[in-house]
Amino acid sequence: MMTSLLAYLLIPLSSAVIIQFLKKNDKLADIVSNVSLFAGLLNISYLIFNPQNVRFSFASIADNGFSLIMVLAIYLIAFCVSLFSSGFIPRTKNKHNFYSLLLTGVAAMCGVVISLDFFTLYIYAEALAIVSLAMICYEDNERGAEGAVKYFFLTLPGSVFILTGISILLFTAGTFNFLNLQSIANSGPMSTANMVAVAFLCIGFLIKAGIVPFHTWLIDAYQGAYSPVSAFLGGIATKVSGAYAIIKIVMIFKLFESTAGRISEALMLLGAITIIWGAIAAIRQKNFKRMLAFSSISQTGYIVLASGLGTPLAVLGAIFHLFNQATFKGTLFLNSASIEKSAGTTNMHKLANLENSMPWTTWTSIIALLAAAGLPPLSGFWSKLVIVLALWEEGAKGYAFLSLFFMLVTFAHFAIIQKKIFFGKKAADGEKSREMPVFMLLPVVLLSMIIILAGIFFPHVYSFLMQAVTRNML
Amino acid sequence: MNILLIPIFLPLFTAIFILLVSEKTKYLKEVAAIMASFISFLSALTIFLSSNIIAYSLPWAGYSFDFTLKADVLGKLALLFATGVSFLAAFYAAGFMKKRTDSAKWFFFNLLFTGSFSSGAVLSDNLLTMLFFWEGLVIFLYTFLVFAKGGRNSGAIAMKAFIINAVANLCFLIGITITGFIAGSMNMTEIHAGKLAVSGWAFAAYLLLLIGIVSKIEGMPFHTWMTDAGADGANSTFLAYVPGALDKILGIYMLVRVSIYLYVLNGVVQALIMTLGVVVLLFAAMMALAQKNYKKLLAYIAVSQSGYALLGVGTMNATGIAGGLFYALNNAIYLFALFLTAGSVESQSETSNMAKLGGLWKRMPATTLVFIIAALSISSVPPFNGFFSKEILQRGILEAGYPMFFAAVELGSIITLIALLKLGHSVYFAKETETSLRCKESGMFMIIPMFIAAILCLFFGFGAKIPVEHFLEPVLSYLALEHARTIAGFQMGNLLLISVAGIIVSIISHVVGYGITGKPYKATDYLLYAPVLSKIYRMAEHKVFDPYEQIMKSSVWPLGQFFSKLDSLTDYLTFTLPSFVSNSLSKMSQKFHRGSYVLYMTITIIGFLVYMAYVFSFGGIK
Repeated sequence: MMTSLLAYLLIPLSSAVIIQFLKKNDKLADIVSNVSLFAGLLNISYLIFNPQNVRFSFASIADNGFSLIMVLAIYLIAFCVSLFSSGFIPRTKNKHNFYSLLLTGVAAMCGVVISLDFFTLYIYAEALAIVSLAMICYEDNERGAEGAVKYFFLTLPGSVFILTGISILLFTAGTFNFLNLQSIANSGPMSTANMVAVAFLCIGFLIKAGIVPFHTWLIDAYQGAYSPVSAFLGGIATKVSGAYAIIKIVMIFKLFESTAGRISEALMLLGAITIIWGAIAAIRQKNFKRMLAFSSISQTGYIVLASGLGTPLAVLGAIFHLFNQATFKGTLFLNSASIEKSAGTTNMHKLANLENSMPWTTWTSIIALLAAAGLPPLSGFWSKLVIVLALWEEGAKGYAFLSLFFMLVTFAHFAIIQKKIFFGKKAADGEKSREMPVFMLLPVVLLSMIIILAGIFFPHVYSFLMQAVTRNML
Repeated sequence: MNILLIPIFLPLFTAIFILLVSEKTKYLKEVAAIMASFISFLSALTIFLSSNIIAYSLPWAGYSFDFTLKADVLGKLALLFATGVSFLAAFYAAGFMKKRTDSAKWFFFNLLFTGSFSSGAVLSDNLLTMLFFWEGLVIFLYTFLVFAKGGRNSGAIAMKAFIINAVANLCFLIGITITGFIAGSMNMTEIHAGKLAVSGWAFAAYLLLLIGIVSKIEGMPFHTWMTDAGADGANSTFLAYVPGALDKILGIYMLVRVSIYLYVLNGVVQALIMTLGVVVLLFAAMMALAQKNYKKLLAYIAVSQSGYALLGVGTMNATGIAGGLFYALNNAIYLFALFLTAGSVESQSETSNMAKLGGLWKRMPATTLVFIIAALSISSVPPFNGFFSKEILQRGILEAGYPMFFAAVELGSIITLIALLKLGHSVYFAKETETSLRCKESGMFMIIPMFIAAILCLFFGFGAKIPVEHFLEPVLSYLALEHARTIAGFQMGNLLLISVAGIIVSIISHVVGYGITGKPYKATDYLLYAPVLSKIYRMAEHKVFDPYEQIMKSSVWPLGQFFSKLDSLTDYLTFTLPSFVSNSLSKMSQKFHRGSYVLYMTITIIGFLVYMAYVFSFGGIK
């Protein structure tokens, strides 16, 4: 574990425990959850963005920059979900339990990103899986239960494969530690046995990331889950338990240049298939949340494709896209929750013309959708551009064209959603909807601001990520 | 906080503020706009008076994509005048917009944004920053015209203005790209250190830049949108502010910046610019003669004035450039004043048709006075400011060795005076008409800016030494242009005599024309029926000289046919076919995502097996 970042794990964990003693008082639970997450967010933001660091192009950041930006993303999304939930969840629903689960989830995610060996990483990823399971079926209905069951059983093979990989690693390399493994990988061609371990690790985390054809659990889980939970899962949880680990493996083993070129190729191929399948399947969905789930899969495909390529530039693009996806999918899932609450449905055929009744929800969604589609100068444009450039540079021109083409298909998602939900002719359910209170709009406004700012200040983001990547891949 | 940021960002934020709050308040937008433009003017004055060069740099993306501002001597001067006219225009609009039906909120929004972007354009030291502001101005030109709902075809004219300027700006953009590429830097100070000679690619770049600049000063053939707007009844404050004053300042600033500061020109380019100047000057002045609409006549005069400035910079010697610059500054003052009088008359009489107006001097004495002063200045009657700029310019032309162009300048000012005599006589002094009976003097908000401009005309005329010494000399020495002779002051000599002779010719022409037709607004008609001229005028009436209309007429219809065919094909290829394919694929995927647990698990396992087979087969692991 990185001890310097341990506080980010311990504080939410203790808050989660404290909240259990505040059963009678929901207001206090609201405050404890939001304040502890907000304090963490401020703290990590200052750690990264204080003027001193910005001035020296982040060269003075001592810790692992990749972990820092992941902690930032975790706290950002968790805080937004928590703030949103304080307005969203009615009193009758045992709010304190939700907060406890959320904070435990934050602690587990921080554990994943600050761990320094695969075993610890696996333990925290499993903890996160259990918390997610409980959160998906938080709302006591059939769909939630179905989603939870599918989540549990269909990701189970993933856990098994990871465990297999780790066990093989223990026998062949004799260590789980990232640094030791990295030095082994750097010292020369790796043994076949090690490669088998890496292959198992990769497939395990691919299943957890919801990559096609292992994405089946993800759709039902996202759609069936209680709405703020969808934002939590779609925004950050699956990214941390899946995509983060993939990027980490790529950084450590440098698959593309070693003997394990096949794994790297497999990653790229699966990434490309995911991009295509997710984007196409999203087109004809009737339910907003289900469509977002497919779109989310497609976006994760970009991350896996770039990690498969594995050059520093590609990894940089993957990390930035991971962060961006957290912000825009967070925004969209939170807004889908708002729409569900306000209009009573997320069925796109029953919704229309929310522009007038819910202007803030509409415009933040538009920003997020455009960022997802890669419209300059929003953040999503830069991350996809970096990925496409990296692919082009390495001569993977087919993949580069494919990525570009499916950016257009993502624009089609935007076109469909904007017409069916936000603009277009008025519909009965859209009529009665009302804008959410300020507290529930603050999170999405914050996230959209970040989408815009991360795009405008991309040069700074780039220099930060470059530091992180070069330090990790040395 | 750097003082250079004030004239750029203060109007910008004020404009957004006005947009947000002005619905619920009555005078807030006027007060806010006047205050913001006044503070910008004060900060421009401070920048102007400070003796050292103020600079501001914000590194952005590296690779010379930096936000760099620098107020050098040339930039300072342009900034002072640009913010000055912005302030006067805001003040005038506070009175003028009350009677208009178009939205005052959007007018002030556009005005402040235009002011902000023009400050940015003259202060930028980086070509890309400059380009951003320069191109941004076109957007506000468009919105200005679109929101001025007074005219019948304001939308079509706005589109025309936009397309003309967009095409010219595209040339400008390519020119800048080539310039930056050749020089290896986007920073103007760095390019200045190793000036570019006009040859090969640099020649192409310079010509492209020149197209952008000529379009900015509404030089021919990019002027047509402006004269159309004048005839259509566009907002007079807009006409005074943007094409009347601001565009001239910006365009001439950029012309000097590019021609002297960044490039070293040769004789060919010099002759080209001067010829262009003369053609613009004479042709537009001649077109002014034929006009019977107050604002359209002024619009043509404005076009012809830009010819003088082109001519001045084209001489490439200190005297001529001083003359051209002086023209640009004077232009901003007297054209501004003339358009403001048009606005004043129009807001009372609700027409700008000369035939319907007459004898306004009794009812609008202040406006009349301002008109007389500005008209005499613009026709370069001594001792108003226009005379001195013309005198300096003519000396520069003689120095450069082009006596033909000297004569052209003289002819231009004679024609200008004839046109303005006709205008002044028919609007202010002829017999009163029904329309003029209901006119009375405009309010203080409109009178004061007009008077300030008129006073400046007198001040720059009688005290011509002051602007020459404080505005022009520093620029000349900054640009390292050597000049021996003092170039200011009122001197008895041949030039004065020629000018006086020109004035007499103009007056005779007017008297003759008035005598023939008996109507002052027809005083130039006898010239229009002269043998060659009549043909030219008829062609102009049919818009033969308007490339926009010609291109629209000759090529847009067949092109439209072609593109419509092409469109339906691409529509099929890009929409019908792909959406059919993607829809059917999507439907298939829906069938697949039925939610069956067994199916899902099977797929997961199969996927795992295929993955493993792929990884470990075909010599994947060596």
